[in-house]
Amino acid sequence: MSLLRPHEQLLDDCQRHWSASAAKLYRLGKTSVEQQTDGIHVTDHTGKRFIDCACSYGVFIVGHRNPTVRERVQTQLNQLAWVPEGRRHPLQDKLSERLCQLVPGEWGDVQFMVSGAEAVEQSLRYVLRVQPQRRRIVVMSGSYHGKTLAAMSILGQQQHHSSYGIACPEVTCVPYGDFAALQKAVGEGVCAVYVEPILGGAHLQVPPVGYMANLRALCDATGTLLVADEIQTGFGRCGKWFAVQYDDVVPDIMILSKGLTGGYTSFACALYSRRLATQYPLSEIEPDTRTNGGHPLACASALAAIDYIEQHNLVELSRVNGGLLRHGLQRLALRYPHIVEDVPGVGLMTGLRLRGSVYEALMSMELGKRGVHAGHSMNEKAERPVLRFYPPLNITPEALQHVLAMIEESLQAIDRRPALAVKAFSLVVRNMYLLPNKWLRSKELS
Amino acid sequence: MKNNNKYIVSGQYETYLDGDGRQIIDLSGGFGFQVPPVIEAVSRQADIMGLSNRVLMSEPLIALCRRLAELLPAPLVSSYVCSSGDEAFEGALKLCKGLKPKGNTIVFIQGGDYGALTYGRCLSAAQDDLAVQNFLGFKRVAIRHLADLDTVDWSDCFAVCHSNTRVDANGRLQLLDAALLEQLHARAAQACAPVIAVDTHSCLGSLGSLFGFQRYRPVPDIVVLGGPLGGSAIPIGTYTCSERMAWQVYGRSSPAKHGSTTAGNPMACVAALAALDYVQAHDSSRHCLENGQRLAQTLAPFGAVAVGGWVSLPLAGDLQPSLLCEALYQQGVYISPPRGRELILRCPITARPEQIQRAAHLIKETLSHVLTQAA
Repeated sequence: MSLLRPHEQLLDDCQRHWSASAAKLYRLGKTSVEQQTDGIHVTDHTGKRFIDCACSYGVFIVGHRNPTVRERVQTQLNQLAWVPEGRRHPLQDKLSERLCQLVPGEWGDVQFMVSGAEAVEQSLRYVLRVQPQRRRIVVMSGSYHGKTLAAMSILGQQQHHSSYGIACPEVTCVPYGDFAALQKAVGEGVCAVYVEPILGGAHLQVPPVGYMANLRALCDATGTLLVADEIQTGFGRCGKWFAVQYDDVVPDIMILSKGLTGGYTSFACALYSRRLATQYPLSEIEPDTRTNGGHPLACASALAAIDYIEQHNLVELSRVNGGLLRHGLQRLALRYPHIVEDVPGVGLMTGLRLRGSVYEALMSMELGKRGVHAGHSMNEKAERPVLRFYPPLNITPEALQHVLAMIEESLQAIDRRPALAVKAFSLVVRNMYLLPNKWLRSKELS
Repeated sequence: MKNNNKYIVSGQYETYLDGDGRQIIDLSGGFGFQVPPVIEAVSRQADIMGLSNRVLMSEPLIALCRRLAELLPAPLVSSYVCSSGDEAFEGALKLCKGLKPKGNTIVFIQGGDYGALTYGRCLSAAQDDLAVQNFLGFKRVAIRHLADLDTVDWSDCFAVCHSNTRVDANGRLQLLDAALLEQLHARAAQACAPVIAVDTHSCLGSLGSLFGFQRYRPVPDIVVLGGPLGGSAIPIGTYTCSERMAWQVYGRSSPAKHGSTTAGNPMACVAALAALDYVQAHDSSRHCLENGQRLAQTLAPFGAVAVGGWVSLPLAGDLQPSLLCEALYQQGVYISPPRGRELILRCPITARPEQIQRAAHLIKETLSHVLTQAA
């Protein structure tokens, strides 16, 4: 049975059966639906090709349908895709061992999950149980640790809380990169600090040198557990295997996902330090170890992705090509200072911090016209959002030069727009979900 | 020596090969191993696109949501696709919280299976997980009898949850008391608190109907699917509600408000579509009922009772559940360790009748042998 449906019918179905606001977004942005992917490219329903610099905010580290990963996925799929609860598969042990060798530090328990949010939730239950006399959690403003209901309690993007009436008095939010604020917040009664070693999302921010090392020392001095969320930064995205390596820090718990999936299945894991795992084994703290994660297919995909990253030296490529991309973006930022504020990031985790969400929407659209996908803000409301460029780590310098040329053309096109038109578009962006559908329906297809 | 019998290296339908090279019949539920049409569909999709790049829409995602709308009763037409059934249950709770942000109490039928994420664990646990529950700051009220409904502060209730079976204090698997469920729905409706039916493990025919909640009269406000939905190929979960309810919470805000990076990815959606095709083409509901009857009839002398494709088997005297499970494993049958004094045998949805019959005889022989020894 073919799943292909005419585009307008697909959007109607989307509106009724999945998400009315997604249908609106697709109609307003005249956004296409991807149908095929290959390497750094995605191809939409009209056959148009795009260079993918969005990559689901960092998932496609080894590119789309990477042949090495695909072959191993197909082999495993034909052998055994899944194991029931309470049973194991040899690849789970192999991946555990591999991760314990790869991630700096000494690790005890490795728990596989289906999603990053699930791994965050498990770590949260763990830290609350092993230190029951301590109830407070410290998180960073603007940080993102997933949007399941329990994970949202430690979300640093607290504007989401009011919609759901989430009030967690035990959570303290401190400005990212501000160590003095951390010193005030971390102390008696705090059981853990959750940190993204590089703040991701629309607030993309690299902390000052020594920030993570100071945080580690502060946690050690106060008996506080340090949880590093490397969901977005891990597996070479930031120019090192893991962002904690910039400060030579070993957290107590490390959470990994995105790059771990190999671009094939939902997958995440939480690593617990040997010290913690010896003192408080996961099997005792949470005897019911049920999870849907770690099925053989996911493990095969992850192992293949790690092999590929290693064999093709992608971490080094991320550093070198990231430098090339950032240098080009910085050059453009200097040329368009009224649109671009700065260029944060490191490795191939970078972007343009724009002077308002209207510019982010305009840039996304202009880049889309020119065959480049960039990562625009979906979750968060940032006054100065970062339009992110997270291409596969195996992108070539030539492709990056092409991307930079398209960014320059897009900035030129926006620069040529009359101020009034930008203002009007800003109004549309702010109220897009309230626009009547009849205004947005495509005439040629309706 | 390394214990290899916990490992599974290959499988088909209800039977797997363990690390020691032995064939084992799996009675722990699910869809079944390596069901050809599901594996073939996933394999084809893997050659086109695994995860979706755009976080948002893909054709398999919309096809799955449309299909669920066709299969579920009105007004359940809007589905959100998650990475697992556990995540879908929390998604459903989040939807309820979005409808009633000031509410702080979850009412639930005690003994149900609400999954392995944090809220689900708090409800599934026999006792309050106070450290976690206090941190999250919600209240839970467990319902066992009609009288318990009067103890609820309904004005504070934002969600009412039930799965379609429950396990009582003795570990006995039961269907829900229909009168209790109807009253629960009625009280929830009065309080404008949505009812969530957690059909994660009981969907796709396991209880003798396509969806487990169809064993009862009331239609829930939200249905959570998962478990076998992924065809035992890729984990996936969904929660489905009315278009109106979806619009109230998510209609005027970013679609990312309910989404996650890899939830609803094309490979998982294709797996679910293939699994749904399979259960409809093979009349799996009837098939599960018959498999349950096969087991229950053979094991009737030991007090076995069938609930669809699941069978509750009480343990006699001081029989140690873990020792019995180990003895059954030695004979070639895997059963999940029980929570109480009853074994719960769950035929995988695609289990072949002759293998279930064989498992029934192996269990009967083992039980007879163990009981004779004990005597």
